[in-house]
Amino acid sequence: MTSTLTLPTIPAMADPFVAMRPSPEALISGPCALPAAPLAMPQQQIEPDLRLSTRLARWLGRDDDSLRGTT
Amino acid sequence: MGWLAHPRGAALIALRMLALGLSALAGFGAFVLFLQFGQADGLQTLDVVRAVLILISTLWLAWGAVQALIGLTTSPSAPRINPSAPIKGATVVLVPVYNEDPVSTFSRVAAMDASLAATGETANIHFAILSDTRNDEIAARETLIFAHLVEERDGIGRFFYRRRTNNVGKKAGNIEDFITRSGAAYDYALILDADSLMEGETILQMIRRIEAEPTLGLLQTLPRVIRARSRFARAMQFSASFFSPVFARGLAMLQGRTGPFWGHNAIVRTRAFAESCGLPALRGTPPFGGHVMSHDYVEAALLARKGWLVRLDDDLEGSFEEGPENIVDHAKRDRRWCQGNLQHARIIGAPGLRGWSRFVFAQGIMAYIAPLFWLGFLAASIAAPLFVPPPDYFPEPYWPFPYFPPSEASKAIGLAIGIFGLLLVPKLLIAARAALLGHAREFGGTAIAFASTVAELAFSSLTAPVLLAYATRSVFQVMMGRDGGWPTNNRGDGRLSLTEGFVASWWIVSIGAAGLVLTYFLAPGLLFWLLPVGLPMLAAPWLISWSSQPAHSNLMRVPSETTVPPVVALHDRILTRWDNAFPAPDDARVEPTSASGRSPANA
Repeated sequence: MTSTLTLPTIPAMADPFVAMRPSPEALISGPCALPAAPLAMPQQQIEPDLRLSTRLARWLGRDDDSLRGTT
Repeated sequence: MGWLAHPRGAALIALRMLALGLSALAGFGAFVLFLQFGQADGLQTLDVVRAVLILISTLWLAWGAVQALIGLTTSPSAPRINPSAPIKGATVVLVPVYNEDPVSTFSRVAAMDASLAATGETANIHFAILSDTRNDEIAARETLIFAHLVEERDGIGRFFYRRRTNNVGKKAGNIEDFITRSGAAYDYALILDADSLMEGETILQMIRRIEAEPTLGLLQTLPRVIRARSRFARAMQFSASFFSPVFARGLAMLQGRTGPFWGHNAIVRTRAFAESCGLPALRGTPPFGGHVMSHDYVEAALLARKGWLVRLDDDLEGSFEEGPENIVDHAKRDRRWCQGNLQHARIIGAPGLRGWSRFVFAQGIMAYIAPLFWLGFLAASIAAPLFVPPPDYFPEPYWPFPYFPPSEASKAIGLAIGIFGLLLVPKLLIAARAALLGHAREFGGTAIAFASTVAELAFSSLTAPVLLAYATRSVFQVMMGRDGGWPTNNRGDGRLSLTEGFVASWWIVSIGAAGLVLTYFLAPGLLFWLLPVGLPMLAAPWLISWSSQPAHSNLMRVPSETTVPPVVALHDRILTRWDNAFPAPDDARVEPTSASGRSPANA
């Protein structure tokens, strides 16, 4: 038996509230996209510098930056 | 006793020296005992080699035991800050995902948000889901379920989602991408894994602590393993809940300003992280070159290098993670960690690192190469009888009675007892302390806690040879230049049949059988001693299959089973609802994975 109180089925898009709801794609490219607030993240030196020039400079007692990157 | 719980300066140096000294003493003791044992039939070169191998292995075992013994001396304590201080800074909770099931992962976000809301605190806390998912179908599902999450939690303006087009740098690159795009919007970033779950109150306390201590760059919690179902997973879960807090206490006492970062369930000061933790690719190609795999240890070391405080607060509860359900998934994850840790050999000499950071790298490397020393010791012991000269019972030419060299077997037995003691005593002491302090009640009472400890010891002794075999293979693979990549783990039901167990471990069976046969022919006297290693290897397929089945025992209970933590209960309810609303396609749920996280629970 069907209840007389059963509401008729209404297409989802006919509901004005549902119609306003953005699609998932619109959501992630709109209000839920990451905020633009860049922060610099400079790359760190994480390996020992084993270049001959650096070692030579160290051995000579002058850890001269100008020698770096020459090999 | 606060100074002992968090020693500084001279006290810290003294404690570190004591820990290292005791470990060295145990190693040296084993070395001397073994040399005395070897002298019984004439000291050979191979005896000295074996003595050195046993020195290194014992030293490593003793280091673990000493950490536990130190940890037993104090209890975790909270730093002295106002636990209800208003929160001023903005925080983002970062949830990196990689091909995980979005229903599982995003429902965790919903649960944590609900848990935060329940605290009544109005702090500025956002969630950012950072997708590195490669599978387009899963990615489509991510957007759909994200929209549901936003709607259900009224999350516009608080919840964010982005998917990278390429996943350069893997998880570390994913976080770095966020920091460089959006990092300036937040003072703090709570870094999670896809399977992380944290109580709202815990998140708030972490923010308050990092806010109260301006030099604190990273605050790590001790995550507890939850939701274990199989025998293997429950043993890991029990170990993580019962033993790990004491080991972590020892670690916290030794950490100084250079604490650990396990990749997840930790909060960072965004500015400190940005200025310190930009990771370049290492020179050369994987496995030793390329992107840093185990980035967490490196980031902790780099923060400390810049003068930031990195701290483990082991008093913080309400931090959870999940673990692998079977030995094979554990071995897959361990393969990745092995490569990551061995890669640190390239970083250990980086300029400016603190001494303790270098020591932590060495410790990580040692954790994976230690099985090689045991393997070397076993191989040398099997081969040793080939090099022993026949006994000379008549060393004096005209003496009519035979001379029997004194037996040094008691020294060998003493050595074996000592080594087993290093493995067993810390765990037994932890159980005794739990009984004395009443913690055992949370684990089912004193009797159940002790029985669980014995069961865990038996289980870990049985599975150790199999796990060591996998770890040894991983080391050889990395040494041979094979890159393990970034595989997805399965953490679903995890049951494995005997056939699947055999496919995964036939080579372990073969090595175990070959080892026992060789021992029988070359050194039959050693056969009995090698059975505890050889038999589990022969039974590896059965062990893998048996341990992957659901556990029904009353043993290995943990507090989160007796009293389900609020956020876990919340997640259970949300997950059930979402599972019904979004059934997995083909009923083939992709279960959550851990991209890189580690913790002592899994150590």
